Amino acid sequence: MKRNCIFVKIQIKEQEGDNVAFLNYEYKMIISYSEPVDKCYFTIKSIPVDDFRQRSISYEINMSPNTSYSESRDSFGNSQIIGSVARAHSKYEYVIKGLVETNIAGITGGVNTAKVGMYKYPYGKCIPGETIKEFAKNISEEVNKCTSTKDKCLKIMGLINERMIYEKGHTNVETCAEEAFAGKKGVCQDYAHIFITLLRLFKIPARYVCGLIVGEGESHAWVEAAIEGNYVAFDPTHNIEITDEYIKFGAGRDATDCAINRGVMWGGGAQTQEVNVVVDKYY
Amino acid sequence: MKQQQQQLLQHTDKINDLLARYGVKFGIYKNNTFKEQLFPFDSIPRIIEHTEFEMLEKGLKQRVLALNLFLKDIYSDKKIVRDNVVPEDFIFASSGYMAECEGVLPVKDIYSHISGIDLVKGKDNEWYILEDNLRVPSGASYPMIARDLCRKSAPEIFHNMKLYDNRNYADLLRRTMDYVNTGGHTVILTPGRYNAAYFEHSYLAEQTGAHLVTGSELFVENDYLYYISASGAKEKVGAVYRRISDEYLDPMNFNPESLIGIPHIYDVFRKGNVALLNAPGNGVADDKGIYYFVPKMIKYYLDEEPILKNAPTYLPFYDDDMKYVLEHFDDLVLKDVAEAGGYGVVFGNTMTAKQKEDFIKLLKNEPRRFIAQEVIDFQDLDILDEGEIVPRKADLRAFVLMADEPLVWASGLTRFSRNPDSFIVNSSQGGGFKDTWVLSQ
Repeated sequence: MKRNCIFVKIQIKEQEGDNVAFLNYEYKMIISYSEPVDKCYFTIKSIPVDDFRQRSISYEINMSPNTSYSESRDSFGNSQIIGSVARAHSKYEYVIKGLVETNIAGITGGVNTAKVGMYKYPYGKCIPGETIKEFAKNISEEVNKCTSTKDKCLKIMGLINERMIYEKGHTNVETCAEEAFAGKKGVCQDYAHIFITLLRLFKIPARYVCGLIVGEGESHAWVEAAIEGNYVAFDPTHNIEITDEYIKFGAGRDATDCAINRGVMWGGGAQTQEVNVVVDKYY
Repeated sequence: MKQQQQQLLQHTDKINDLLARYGVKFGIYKNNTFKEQLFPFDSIPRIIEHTEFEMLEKGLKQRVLALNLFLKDIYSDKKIVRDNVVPEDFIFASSGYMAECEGVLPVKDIYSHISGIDLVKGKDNEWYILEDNLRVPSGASYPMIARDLCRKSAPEIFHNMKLYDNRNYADLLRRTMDYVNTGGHTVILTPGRYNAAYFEHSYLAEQTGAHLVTGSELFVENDYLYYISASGAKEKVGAVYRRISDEYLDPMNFNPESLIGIPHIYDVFRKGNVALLNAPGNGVADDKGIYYFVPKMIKYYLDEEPILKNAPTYLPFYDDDMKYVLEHFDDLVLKDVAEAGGYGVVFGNTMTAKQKEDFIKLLKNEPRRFIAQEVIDFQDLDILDEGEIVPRKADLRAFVLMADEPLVWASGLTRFSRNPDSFIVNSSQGGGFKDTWVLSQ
């Protein structure tokens, strides 16, 4: 970590008077197996990519067992680390540490017109069922009263929050928007899926975003909506537009496209996962 | 010709016995159990005249060139969408579109290396394209081996006939695979013994000299693909003719549940370190909705008039077409764009009033989901049915390979319906096949 680098950046930004933040993050994943794994393949998507509201200044990865890997971009523009561990191991862990500058003023979110279509239609965990369709019908008058697209987004987000209760244990990573919405309880992933599904029903292209926020010990999920050529980011779990305390790891049509961790392994028995997240903010 | 036909007829049973012995079968799943069926061979060949084939060849090359350009465009700039030739609904809402393939350029920009184009010949003597198969089209091995067996059992017929030897398919396929090979072995990847087309996989491997492998014999290491040879050595792979569908190819990029795929193979492809034949994502160009736009693609990308015709097709997505479809409902055949293999096809005139009413309701609700086509009255071909020669509906699957240039195989798989009342010739629905003879003069 280049500490002095941070210092220089802060100096410059203060002189310019911009409202920026620097976020120091650490994401640690430990997977333990009850029996040794013979071999595993992994794809990790937890490296922030430069975009309209963040810039990755530096990062480093440490992985155990030590193995070779390569970095590339997936088709959604996310950074991905891919590799394998070709020998027996009972524990696999990695730590990614880095520094990100957020809320970069004056940069608007270029919506790629050739690709934005992929965020317009029902897909994967964001396919509306009867409950969501019915809800959309019931709120359509209220939503369509809003004069701007952004207000529509805020309205829909508010209405979701009136119905949903944030509570763990009712849903899991496989739960789709419709199931979570029918059950009225869920976590950030569910809130994001539901919001995306509804936005797309209202013809607003929307994508799932995964990343970290200050003050939460695990990863978080939110939503970017394409509004007049720019992406605007909303956090439906907290019912707010996002702030400078959000670090984006990746985006996709639903959670699967930008899953932080994807793996295939042989053997291993039962597995337990432990995630540690620390995000510190500097001005 | 009549005399030769007679001669061949005498050999029908013998050849079917031989085909059975060679394991020329296809498997189907019925009620969740795997069953293998023989694919009945009819020894009366379909004969295509030389000049007629020349026209087909030109038209097929043109079509496959345009489809390849379309795929490249769709997974990059999407100019054809921007220029309002194809509505974006037909791309992004298509089940064949794979966002995971955005921005990935295959070796030498070839997406569809092996294309199976289905045609029929109408009673008006015109050929019509019925559908394009750009994912994993199968069937070339059947006429190859049937020709081989016919030549062995009745060699005298072939001495006098001026026809193209179709056993060169293996050379064409090898040339196609070698053209994109990035350095290393060429393998044919099969899901295994219980796949419908396992005979074909093994036969093509044998004929082309490629290794026949399953997913467990391949692995990715440091961004390259390897295969473990019989002696246990680790050998680099440069081209994979994969006979596994896209979603099962790579559990790290596509369906995570796949047990037959190779983790990270698509990432190796993404980096240009291996060729995959055909490229993943081709489904966006061969669904029944996109079919309507292929003649427009030919004009758009090649600035040429289409040589081969589509069956007259209507898209209820467009208001004018919807109006036409509702007015002429009984004359049309309606097809669900997401279905294949002869499923999801209904004829307007066979529906009861209630079925029609329900269908129209569905059509109005989801217009993009269906296409409607005029029923083409296609020519019958003679087949031998329990000792009698009877006419039956038949189509032709032509194979177009894309190497340094497009190559049209001078043969093809002629499939026929054994049911006299059926227009559906798919092997999964119980049809049989014929050899296809292309005259060389």
